[in-house]
Amino acid sequence: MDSGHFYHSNRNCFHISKGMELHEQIFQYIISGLTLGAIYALVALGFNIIHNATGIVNFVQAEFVTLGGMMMYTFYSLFKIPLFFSFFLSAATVTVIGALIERGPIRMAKSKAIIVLVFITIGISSTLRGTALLVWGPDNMPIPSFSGEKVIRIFGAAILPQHLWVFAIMIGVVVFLQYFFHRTLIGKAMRAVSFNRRAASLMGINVNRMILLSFAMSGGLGAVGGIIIAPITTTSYDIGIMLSLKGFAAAILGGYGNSTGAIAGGLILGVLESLGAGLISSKFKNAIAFLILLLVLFFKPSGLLGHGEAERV
Amino acid sequence: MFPFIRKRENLFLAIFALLIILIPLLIKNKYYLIVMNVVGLNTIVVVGLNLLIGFAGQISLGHAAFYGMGAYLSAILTTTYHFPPWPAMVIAMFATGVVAYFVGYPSLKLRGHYLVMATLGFSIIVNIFMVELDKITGGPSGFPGIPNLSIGKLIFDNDFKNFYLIWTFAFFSILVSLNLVNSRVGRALKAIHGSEVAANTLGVDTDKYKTKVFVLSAIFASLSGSLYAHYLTFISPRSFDFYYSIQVVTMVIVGGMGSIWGAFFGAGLLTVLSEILHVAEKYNIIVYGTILTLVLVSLPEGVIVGLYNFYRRRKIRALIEEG
Amino acid sequence: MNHPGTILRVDRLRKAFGGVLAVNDVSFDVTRNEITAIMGPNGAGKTTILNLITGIYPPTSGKILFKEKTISRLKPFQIAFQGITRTFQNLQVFQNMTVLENVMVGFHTQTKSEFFSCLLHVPKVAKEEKIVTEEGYALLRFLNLEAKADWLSASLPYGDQKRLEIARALAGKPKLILLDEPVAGLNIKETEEMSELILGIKEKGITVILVEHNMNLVMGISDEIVVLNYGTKISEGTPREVQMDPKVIQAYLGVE
Repeated sequence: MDSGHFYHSNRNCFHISKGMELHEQIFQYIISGLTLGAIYALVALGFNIIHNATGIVNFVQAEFVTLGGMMMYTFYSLFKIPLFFSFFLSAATVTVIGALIERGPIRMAKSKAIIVLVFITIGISSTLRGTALLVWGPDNMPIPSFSGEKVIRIFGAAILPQHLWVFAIMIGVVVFLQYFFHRTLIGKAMRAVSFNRRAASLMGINVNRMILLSFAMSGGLGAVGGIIIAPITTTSYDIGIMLSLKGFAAAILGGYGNSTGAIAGGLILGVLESLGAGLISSKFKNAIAFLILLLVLFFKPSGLLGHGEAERV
Repeated sequence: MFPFIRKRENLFLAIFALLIILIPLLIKNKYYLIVMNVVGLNTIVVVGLNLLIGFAGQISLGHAAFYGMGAYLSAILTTTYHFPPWPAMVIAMFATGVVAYFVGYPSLKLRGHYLVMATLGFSIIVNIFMVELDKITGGPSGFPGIPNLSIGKLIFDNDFKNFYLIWTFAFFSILVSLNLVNSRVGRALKAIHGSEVAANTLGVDTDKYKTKVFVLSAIFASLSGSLYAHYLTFISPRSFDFYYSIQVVTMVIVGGMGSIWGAFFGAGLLTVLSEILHVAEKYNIIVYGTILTLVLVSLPEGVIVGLYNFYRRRKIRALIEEG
Repeated sequence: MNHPGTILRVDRLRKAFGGVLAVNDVSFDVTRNEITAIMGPNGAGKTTILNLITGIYPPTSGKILFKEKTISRLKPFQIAFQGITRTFQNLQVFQNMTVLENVMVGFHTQTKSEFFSCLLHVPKVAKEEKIVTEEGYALLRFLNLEAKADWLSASLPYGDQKRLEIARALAGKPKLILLDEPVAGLNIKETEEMSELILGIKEKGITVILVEHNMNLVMGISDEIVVLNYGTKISEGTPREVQMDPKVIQAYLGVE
């Protein structure tokens, strides 16, 4: 099985050159780290939403990210549909896929045991990935940057316009989610379900619909992550795996279930990873995120901001 | 051997042993032998993993790491350091067991999906080490030149001889697993799966048992990995990635968690299926994924156990209606 | 402990869950070989006390002593080895095992084989299995479940499952058994049978702590009653004393 793609998802335009001073290099690493970290944060938020609504870990998150990028490739690069519409179409398609997954295999599953559902998501994830492989093949797909490749220099570090897009969109998403969960009725209903499902349903909230919505939203979030990072790292049928696993690590680092934690965890993880790879060793870059994951799980499973959710019952 | 098997299983095991002895004599096709050897290797891993997943109800998505550790430790010790293979295999099993203990003990205190992520994360780290520590492991291009196993003058250097070697170990792994599950410890493991709280209040030290069965399953995987290394004489990190972890878990789940023979069935079925699809390798992932999903949605206890329970419940319902 | 007949002492026990004080400064003694009932309206903290005694979580403060030994910080499995077992309000029967297997798990504290011996099925293990199986059947006979020994416990009717839990708890040869709402959901006949069963357990020399809502049962078979309300002990004594206690009547106001 070709795992060659497995580790490439962190290709980043480092622009590190001999002439750069150490502090300039560090700043560069931090920028790249924050960029990837933003994606981890988006993925982590996606994981949290589903976990808060259902208690399961959704392994299909990886494919949400992948498919976001792949759809973008299809619409934007292949069909040359204008940027804005491609973005929207790609995200919408994956959102629908997320909803279909909940409506289909998840809802139909005979056993609602959490571990069974988790493995069903693993199965679905493999199925979708296998499908992506068949449809798009194993190669990397390039996607043009949203607004060109002109390097911007800030404090000696090279920043691409795409980096700015990533930050901007991430901030936009976070603001939207904040508004959604705290100011809209539906958002509050979803939060109610996450606090106490039975009480929420007794209050008239349609829990099934909230769960459906949580899958759909996770799909959208993952897709957005995959879309905005694709111009920087290219996309492929298995790009989502590493990104989502690290996104999960970020969620745990920040405190699983906690949205501020997800963002903080994502950014911190991205930066730590980038600094570690740049300053210590780039060969083990991928191992850094998982090492952090293991350390958090073993010593403080509730993460930085969590409430002890991961502790034994 | 007779004090060491339970009476009820005697018949099945005897038939199984007979089949093991006869098959290579009857089937001369080299390709089929190779496939069956792979089934044998997977059976050892899956039977061990089933003890963890099916009986104790814990998850691991990291057994590729233990399989790989057995393979690489055996390879490195025997090829680079010229250790005798059999002691090297035992050392590998021991080392893998120790690592499994230190990873397992804190991980198993976590709830379900955290455990999944911990084992998965661990497995990825190990795989990265296999690739990057290329001076020791040969890196992504692999590690060649591993010697075959031998007993005195008998060298296991072809598929025929390796069949007997591998399946003897597979036979014993099934045997000891059957012994374990129908004993005090086996029941304690099942109890943990049934209700960890209740098991605790009945005197079962659930932390200790979960860790021990995790270590045991890792040792089974390590054993199989060593056999794999000495059989193929060449290993590469690609065989020990997280796809493999998913494959073996799928085999456990499809075969039927909680059934030793089911684990063997799952290993056999899915290995053969994988070989059939080898022609078009890119179908492998989607087929595994679809099977896993379908089985879990409709027969969550797995095929064998699911059908068995279905039959049992029908029988009992009939009894109630009669009575 | 002061009184020689005391087998369990709960001493100023407190348990807080976040901001909620579920058990507030509760103290009482349980006399050997008696049936002590813990009563109180819902949410009074009865099950919490059982959970504290069996070590499911540690107390916030206070002590629990069993036969002069402090057990408040022990883990549940260690408490089983001390000789205390229990049943559960929400049934924790092992659904994935047969009736007989459930009971056989109960013998865990009475047996010794560990991983290595079990893997190799050494003669010691075979002997142990035989004994455990026989005693398992005997226990099922005592509880009238022998005929269903090979049934998957999930297929048992509710009342049988409750008796199965008791059989399983008795297998550990406990000195003290905690029964959490043993007759909840049972009909009149089943309740009577359970009542006799509990008296039968007492006759075997086992001390019983009973958490129950069913007034008739509690008043009928208990030797001693402890009444809780909102986590505090409001009364203690024989059934007659407790029945007449105005604090108890007030707590149950509106309930017959």
